[in-house]
Amino acid sequence: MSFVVNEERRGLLLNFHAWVKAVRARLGDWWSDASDPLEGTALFGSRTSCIYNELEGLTSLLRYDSSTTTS
Amino acid sequence: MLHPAWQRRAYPVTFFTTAPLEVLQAALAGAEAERAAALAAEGGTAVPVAEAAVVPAAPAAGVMEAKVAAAQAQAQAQAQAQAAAQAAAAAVEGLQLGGAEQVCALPRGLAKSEAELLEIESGEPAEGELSLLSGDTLSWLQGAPPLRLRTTELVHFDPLNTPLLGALPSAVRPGDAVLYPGCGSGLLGLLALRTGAASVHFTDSLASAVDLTATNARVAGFREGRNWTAQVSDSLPTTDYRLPTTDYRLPTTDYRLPTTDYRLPTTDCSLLTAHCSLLTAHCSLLTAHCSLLTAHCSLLANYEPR
Repeated sequence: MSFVVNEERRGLLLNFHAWVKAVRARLGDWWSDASDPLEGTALFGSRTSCIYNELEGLTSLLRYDSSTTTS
Repeated sequence: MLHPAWQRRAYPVTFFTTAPLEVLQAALAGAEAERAAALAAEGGTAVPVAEAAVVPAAPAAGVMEAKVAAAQAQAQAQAQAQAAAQAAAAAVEGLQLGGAEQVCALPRGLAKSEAELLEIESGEPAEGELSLLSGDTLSWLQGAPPLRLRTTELVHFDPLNTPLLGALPSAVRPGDAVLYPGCGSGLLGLLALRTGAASVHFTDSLASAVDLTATNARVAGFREGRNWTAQVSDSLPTTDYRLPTTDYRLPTTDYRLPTTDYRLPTTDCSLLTAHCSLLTAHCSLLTAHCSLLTAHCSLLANYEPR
């Protein structure tokens, strides 16, 4: 991985972590968590080897339609 | 997903919370304001930290708010689906078939109403007349009586599969027994019957697709049992078949099956291989699904009600 790419990733990652930290601090006692942009696993909850599947999440939790079958 | 420029794996970020919408919005606004102030103090320009689409998964607030949120989510999903349909249509425009610069017109009813189909109530069939024009590769269809296909919101012909139509006459020989896994509305199988296939066995994992195929086959005048059979199945029966479809498009990757003769189970194991690759694809979907469930459970496990 090139130095430029590495720096860009690192910058975006720090950016995201700062954002998550700031938002979570403001949510107080309400439960919150995020998926880890590096690993796809839970960022704050207990770590498992499971990756949060974005597409499945959108279809299951937000009822987005991805069930179209084709012939 | 693979980042296009980085060539590295990256995961989209989802933020989960049980906080009410207004609390979350206030938190977001507060975080943005703090960030903007910090940047201003540094002399930089304020850049939004993240563009988060706030869609409450299960709004606990009033019924009215829940309805509004549901409507918003639905509108968003519809807009996405429409964009996808337009992208698919755009991808097919100017398609080259077999070297000749011929464009295959899509099934008329479907081509123009891919977006409209989304507005049809679930389960309500939409009728589209198959209208395939021009192109040497499709000349075999010309002069034939139109094939009327019923389609639904869930089951219809994917424009991305259009190249298969041109390949069909060379893939299917007169007298062939054809297996059509993932038959959907049955279009390719019915055309295979038209090109002289002796029989077609339709399978689909979706019961509504099998019903639809059966309806379409009956309307087209083919005899059930003699010309065709249809069943709900994820697996393939063990007889001699030719596979008419060369391209399998699953949510994750493209799967390609060769179009040659297959014999099961003794003489040739290539179908088994093809079958296995489909099963593997299917399993990877199941695994992905399980990993989501597990991830979901681990989130729930960490959730402590107030």
